[in-house]
Amino acid sequence: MCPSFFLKNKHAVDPEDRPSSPTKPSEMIAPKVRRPLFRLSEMPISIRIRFMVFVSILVSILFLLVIMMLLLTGTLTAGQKDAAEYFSRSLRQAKADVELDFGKTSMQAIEMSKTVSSSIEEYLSNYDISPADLQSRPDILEDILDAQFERLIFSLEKSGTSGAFIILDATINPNLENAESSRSAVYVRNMEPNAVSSGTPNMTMLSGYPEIARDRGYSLNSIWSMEFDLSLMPDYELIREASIGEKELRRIFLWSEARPLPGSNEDVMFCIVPLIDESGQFFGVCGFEVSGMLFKLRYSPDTTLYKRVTSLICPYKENRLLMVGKSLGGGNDNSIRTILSESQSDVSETAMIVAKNQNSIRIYRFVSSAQTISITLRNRYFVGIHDTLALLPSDSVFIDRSYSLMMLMPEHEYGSMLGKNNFKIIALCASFIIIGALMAVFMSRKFAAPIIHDLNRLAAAGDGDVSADDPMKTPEIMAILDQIRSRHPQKEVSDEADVLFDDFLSKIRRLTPTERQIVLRYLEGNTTTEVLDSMFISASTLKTHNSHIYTKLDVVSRDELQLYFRLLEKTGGLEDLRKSLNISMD
Amino acid sequence: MYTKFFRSKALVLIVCMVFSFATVLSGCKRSLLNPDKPVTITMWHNYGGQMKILMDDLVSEFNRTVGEEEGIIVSVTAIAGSKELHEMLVSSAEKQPGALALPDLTTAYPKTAVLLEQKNLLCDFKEYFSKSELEAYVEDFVAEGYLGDEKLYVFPIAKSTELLFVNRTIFDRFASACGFSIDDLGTFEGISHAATAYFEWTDAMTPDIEGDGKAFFMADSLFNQALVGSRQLGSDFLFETDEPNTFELDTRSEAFSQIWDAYFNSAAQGGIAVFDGYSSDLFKTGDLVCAVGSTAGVLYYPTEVTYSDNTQEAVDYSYLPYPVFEGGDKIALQRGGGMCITAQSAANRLAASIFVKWFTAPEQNLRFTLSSGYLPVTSEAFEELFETDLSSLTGKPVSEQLETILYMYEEYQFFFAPYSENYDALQKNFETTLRKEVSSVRDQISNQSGSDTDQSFSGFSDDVLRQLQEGEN
Repeated sequence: MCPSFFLKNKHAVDPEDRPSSPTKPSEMIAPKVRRPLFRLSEMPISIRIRFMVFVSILVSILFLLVIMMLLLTGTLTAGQKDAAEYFSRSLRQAKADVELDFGKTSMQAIEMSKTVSSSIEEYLSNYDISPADLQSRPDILEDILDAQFERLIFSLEKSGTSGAFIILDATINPNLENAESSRSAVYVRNMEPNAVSSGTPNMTMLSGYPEIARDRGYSLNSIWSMEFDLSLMPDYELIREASIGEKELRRIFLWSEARPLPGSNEDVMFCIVPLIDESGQFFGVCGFEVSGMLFKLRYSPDTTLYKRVTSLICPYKENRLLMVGKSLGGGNDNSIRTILSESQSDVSETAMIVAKNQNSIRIYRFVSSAQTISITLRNRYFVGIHDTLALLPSDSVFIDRSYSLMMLMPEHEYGSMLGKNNFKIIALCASFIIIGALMAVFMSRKFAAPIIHDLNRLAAAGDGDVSADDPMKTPEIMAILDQIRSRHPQKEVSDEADVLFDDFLSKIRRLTPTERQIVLRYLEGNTTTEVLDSMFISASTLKTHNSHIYTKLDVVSRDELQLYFRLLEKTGGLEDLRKSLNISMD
Repeated sequence: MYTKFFRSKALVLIVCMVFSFATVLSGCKRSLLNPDKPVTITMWHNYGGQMKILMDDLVSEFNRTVGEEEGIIVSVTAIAGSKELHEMLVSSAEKQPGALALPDLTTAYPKTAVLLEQKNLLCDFKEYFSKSELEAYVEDFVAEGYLGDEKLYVFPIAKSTELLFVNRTIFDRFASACGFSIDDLGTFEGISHAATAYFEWTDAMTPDIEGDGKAFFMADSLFNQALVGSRQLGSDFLFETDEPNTFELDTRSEAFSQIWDAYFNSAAQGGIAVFDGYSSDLFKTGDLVCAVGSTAGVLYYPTEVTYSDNTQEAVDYSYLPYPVFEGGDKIALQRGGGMCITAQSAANRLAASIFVKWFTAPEQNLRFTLSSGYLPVTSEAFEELFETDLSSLTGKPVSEQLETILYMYEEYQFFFAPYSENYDALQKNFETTLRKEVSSVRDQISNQSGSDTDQSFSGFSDDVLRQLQEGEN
């Protein structure tokens, strides 16, 4: 008899019956969530699947831990950080180099202006004319420039730039149609400013009197012109106006925007300084040229790690417009200029603006002040950074003119680079997940196999015991089996029991048909009265038969006979006994 | 059984995953070039001016297409005239102080390649071009790149020859005034005669100034004129000495004597220019009427002449076949450099060869040559020129010049100059000596007064020729 309280608590308690204030952690979970979880936990799920889920959860937790570690250590964002650092470092270095070199060039241009001005003024004193009156004596322009040629060449070589010029505010033939924009000049280009040549430097005359060059063994540039076309130097008039009443050359020089030389696709920037006489009169300009090729050779970023990076120097307007259409570029091909020329947009008015800031890196897009931006450019984005350059002194008359240095990479290159950087990590994670899943499946099978094997054997054994031929593999199940055995000891079906059983069956054969009927009725569980009624015999006859049965079966009482019946029942031999009794009866 | 099957499958899958994983992580290189890590090859070339735009476009196109697929970036780091480029390459090869590092790829003429090859700085193109690939190119053009042994060091990219450029605007004025015709320019002797007449005609325009006549003609390379002229007259200007791979000049032959006669008097007088530069320079200022020069220089001849008062005059040109010495055969020089691979690493060499293959493929090669005045180097592209209406393909100077070149390829025989170690020195020495001596004679003549010019010229001619001949000894 089980105590009633035990019976009451035999079944699981429905969670909804629990008291309202939670006392256990599981009670803190909302009922709506708890109920399905509870039902889930109560559902019959095979050992293998349970274990597979367990291992999968373990793998997932480990994976999340790894991800967290990668995030905390910044490994996942390493590519972005490296790129940002690269841009920052490259820009910093290039900016320092550009400002230093351009600053030196500016100083040398100012120095050249002073010496040339002084020299020309002295020369003209022989003709009793001032430099501002040059136009009155076009016949001596060639001589003036001829006298300055060696100085110009010397300055050019010293500056290391790609060109040097002296432009006088006079033209040899004021009667020509284009006289307004034509100026007498000597302009020499160094085609290889980076090379130190043991022979004749690779210099050609771009503008000037041909005999000045030929007398000294210099050739004329392929796009040579006799005089300088001022349309190439729109800042000429600005400089002229700025020089009125201003003697400090360092305040009135400037760096121009980049423009292509006429008849070529080579862009150049000028450092322009006015020529001023003692009385402060403007009579021309002089200066140096920095070509696109020179900029590329001197200020290209290191492309060892990041191949398609471009550096650009360009005007910076309204604090946001980077006028890339008027820039000099360095770096590998696919430069901005190449893209602009291919887009067939109005290059000169094309600019870039910052579309987005992404941590330390910016994303740039194209805009144009002249017209609608072409589709080609609209869909091109670049990634990088920029910074303003200090090319002019703070008290310059042209201080509003701003320049910027940019380091850029095409956005798709940047994305591809980041993707590749993270590819290994992603591949690792994916492999981790897949291997973990496979291991979960594999291990769950391995784990469950012996358990299932032992359970299957138990099921197969039924009321009997498991065979010794196929030993159990699970100690826990073996322990349970031992416990069951100890509570319900089974007589082992030994060879002796078999002998006993066979002996009993053989003795059954000795019984007469009437005696077998009686034994059968005892086996069916009939009482003495029921036997007498069913067989229509007297009590004394039954007593006699019983005595004969006992003697033949070698038992002493009906109880012992019943014991044999129970033994046979347990060992599964009852059916055989019934058959024997029936066959015998037949 | 199912379990066994599944187990084996899982095992195979795991092994594959581990292998893939290991491969990804190992970053193993499967080839020299990797699109994910492109190599940058530096290139020098001599295509300046208008041709620079074309080269820039082609290089950009390569970088965007084949370069991106293969992992190659071509970066042009120097552009200079052929003479200057030769000096730069020699300086770099000799590692002179201040010289730039040699590029991976450069245009070069065989005379430069010879010097580079002596320092083992060149790569054999046959390592990268199969026999069938080479057969697609014009055989003679390829042959020029062998430099005497079995290795192909100079790969043909664009070929040229020489012809006579004539400023018709000025010539027609002179011809109608002095009774000459364009046919007179078919021989060097005719040119020499016209040059003398032109000098006198222009001198007469300033009666107050004596001897300020203008030059009529110039050969960009006197050496080439002597070389070709000797061949036309059945002789050789260069002969091999006992020293291997060394030539000397033959200035004593009858052929050279004829060449000399057609040159000296006019040069000493001033009708033939003595100028250490390209004739296109003199054309810019109207200081020359006609010149023998490379067809590769067609775009350097100006479309306008600028005179000393800054006035300009538009110019019409005639492109005439290379002149022939009287009694000589129609023979001309095959010129044009090629590309040399000077890269030292295997990856860069391979990258450079891929660029050369692409650059000389018929499509790109035709584009380049039709815009520049060069001749294409593949048989396919070369034959296409003969069958195409050139005026529809390109601008006037190039198409008209091409017509003349194609005529020459049908009528003339071509040869390329033999190269030797001392070729460059021979050429420089010959031309420098000639310019110097003729200039000196000019000065002496101009200082003379009232003497018989013809006699003076004859005397000077003998003197200078003797000096040349003795100098060669």
